[in-house]
Amino acid sequence: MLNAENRKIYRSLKGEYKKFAKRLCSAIRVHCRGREETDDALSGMFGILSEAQAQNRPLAEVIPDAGRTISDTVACLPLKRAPHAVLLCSLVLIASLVAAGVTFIVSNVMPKPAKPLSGIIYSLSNGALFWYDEYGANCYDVYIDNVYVGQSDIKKFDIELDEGVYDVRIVSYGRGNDLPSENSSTITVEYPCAVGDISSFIIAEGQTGYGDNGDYDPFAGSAFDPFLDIDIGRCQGVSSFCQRVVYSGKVGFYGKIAVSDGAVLVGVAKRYGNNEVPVGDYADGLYFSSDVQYSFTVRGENAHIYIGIADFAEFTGRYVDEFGAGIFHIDRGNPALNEGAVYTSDDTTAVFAARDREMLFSGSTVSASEYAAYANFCPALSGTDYVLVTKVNGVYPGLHIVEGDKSFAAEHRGSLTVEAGYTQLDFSGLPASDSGNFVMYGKEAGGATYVDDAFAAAYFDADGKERGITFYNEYLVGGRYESGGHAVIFSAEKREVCFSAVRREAEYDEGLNLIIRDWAEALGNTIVLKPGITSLQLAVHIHTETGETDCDVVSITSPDGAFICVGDCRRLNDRNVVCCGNVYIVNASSDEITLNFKWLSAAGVSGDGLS
Amino acid sequence: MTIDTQLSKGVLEGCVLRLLEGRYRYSGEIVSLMRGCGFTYFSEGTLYPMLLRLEKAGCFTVIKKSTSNSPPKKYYKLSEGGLKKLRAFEEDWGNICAAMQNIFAVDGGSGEEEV
Repeated sequence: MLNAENRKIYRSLKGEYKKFAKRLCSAIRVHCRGREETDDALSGMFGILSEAQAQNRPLAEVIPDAGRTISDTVACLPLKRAPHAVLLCSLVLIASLVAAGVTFIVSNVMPKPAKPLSGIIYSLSNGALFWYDEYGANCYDVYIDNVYVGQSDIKKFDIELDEGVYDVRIVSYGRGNDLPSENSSTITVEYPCAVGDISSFIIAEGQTGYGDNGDYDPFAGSAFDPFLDIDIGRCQGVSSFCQRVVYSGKVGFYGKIAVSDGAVLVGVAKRYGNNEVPVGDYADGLYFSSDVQYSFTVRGENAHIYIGIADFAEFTGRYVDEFGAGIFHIDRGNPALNEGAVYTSDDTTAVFAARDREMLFSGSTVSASEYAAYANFCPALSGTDYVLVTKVNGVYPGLHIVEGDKSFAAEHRGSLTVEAGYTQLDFSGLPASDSGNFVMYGKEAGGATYVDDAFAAAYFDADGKERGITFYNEYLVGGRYESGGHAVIFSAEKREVCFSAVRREAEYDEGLNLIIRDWAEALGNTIVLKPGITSLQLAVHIHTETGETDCDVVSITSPDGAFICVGDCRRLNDRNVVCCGNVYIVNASSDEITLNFKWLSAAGVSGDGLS
Repeated sequence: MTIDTQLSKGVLEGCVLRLLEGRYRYSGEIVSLMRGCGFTYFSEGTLYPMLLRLEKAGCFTVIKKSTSNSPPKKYYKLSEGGLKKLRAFEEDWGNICAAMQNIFAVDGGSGEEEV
């Protein structure tokens, strides 16, 4: 593992420089010991590489003989095991054999030829070499590529190996009649790839996503580079009190679980079927590996859980898959215990990867000047599993889709796919029988205004035409509420309005409708809320042709005081303002409730909007 | 000017020691000076293991300097131990030069081989 300084430099290296740095890291890790000394050695070399790269010099000019440089560097550092360990072992062996008889020693001390098939394997999940027992052996020397790397008393040797092909030789010592002997084998270390696995979160190469490099601002137009921002696998979850989540690491990467301040990680266990085995010293985060399912419990209200893959990816230079993706999974089998979310990055976009479903999130391209649309995607794939995307840039709970006209085909039951380069949610392949079960959920990141209710979203184009979004939900067609759904799309001349409505799933039936009609039709549009709807999540997005529109405050009132609006406004750029908030309906007894919208301060736009 | 690599191998360490006498330099600067002096093949790949080895041997005092837009650089200067090593090299080099001059002063004849 690299220290922070070296990791930072390593991440900045590219191409042949990165390859060389990786080779050097691997060689030092295999052969050298002493964290401080190796860190220092790498620091010096990385600094040289970084400077040369900045000068656009070819690596061949800087490091003409990479192998020689690496071996010379390694030779300057303390090796993991001093060669005299072999001698010591031999002396102990000889001494013991002397006690048994000198003639025996003479006839057996010569190593036998290596056996052609030795059963030496490398376990990715254990990070160790294993081999068959040699009868009577009590001491094994381990050689990799003819370099002595250490000794073991058992048929296992812990060592981290990068991907590659290695010649491994095990020399066995002990009291067996055939000892000492050698076993050798060529092993191939290959980490599995995440592509194609279910429950995957993928940001494709060349596309933009929400990185976690600490300086990424989705509104600044900076792009996520999977080959630079390899922290992308970091996830964040929001926990209710004493939350229990399950992470299934079905692919080969190492992750880390950590929690934010105010939360306590009270338990982490490996799961084998129904059995759980406590693991880990997770005071500084728990590193876990592939092919093991983990569950962990967090005590603390609104705690944040972080799951990262950075260390594995950064050190080896190999990503979880070719796109730099991570796979995250949360068990929604018990909603009462699993109310948190796993987020792709902190406070930007959150994703639940639902069980047994594929989810592709290809990222969004952000352009501050063309920012035009929002949408909230919160599909529930079944009664207990769901996918949640929420909270973009602290402004609006929803998935950020940009540059307007990327029409979503209506009638996308079970599938919503946005073109490459845009946010993509792909639920293709869902059985048709599931379509009726899809319900959207909404939740603001942070948990402060959690609304575990049905949810809907809407989207407008700047020209005022509806762009029909249908969210894997047969109830939403062309943005128009149809048969019990709750998506609303507004259009207005020179304006865009995005509404999202929230209602309680439990109260959902054909009789509970939320209809918001076209803004442009009249200032007399009404929102009809049938009895039983207890909350409304609202966002207002104003956009004028002149680009001068601003909106400082949106107030939402109702004649009878039935609504309480909690929300804020935020100016996104020169042309766009988003206001969002939650409307809590105090009096839901009326069959028809009127909402009043008023811009209290808006250049170019003023007056009542909807009444 | 190029110098045969095999011939020059033994003296590179002495050259580097000399460049670090009395002042701090970083690797890029050392490589530039070495190349400018005629060791045109000299590279960071050769230099860095040498610096590492000499550093472990106590020949340098090392400081790290950071800049705002680049990783920190390591600057090296000869320590007391390094100075001793340099003096020893200079003495050896003087002896070699003298020996070489003596060799070249030996009459090689007219080219006609006499047995």
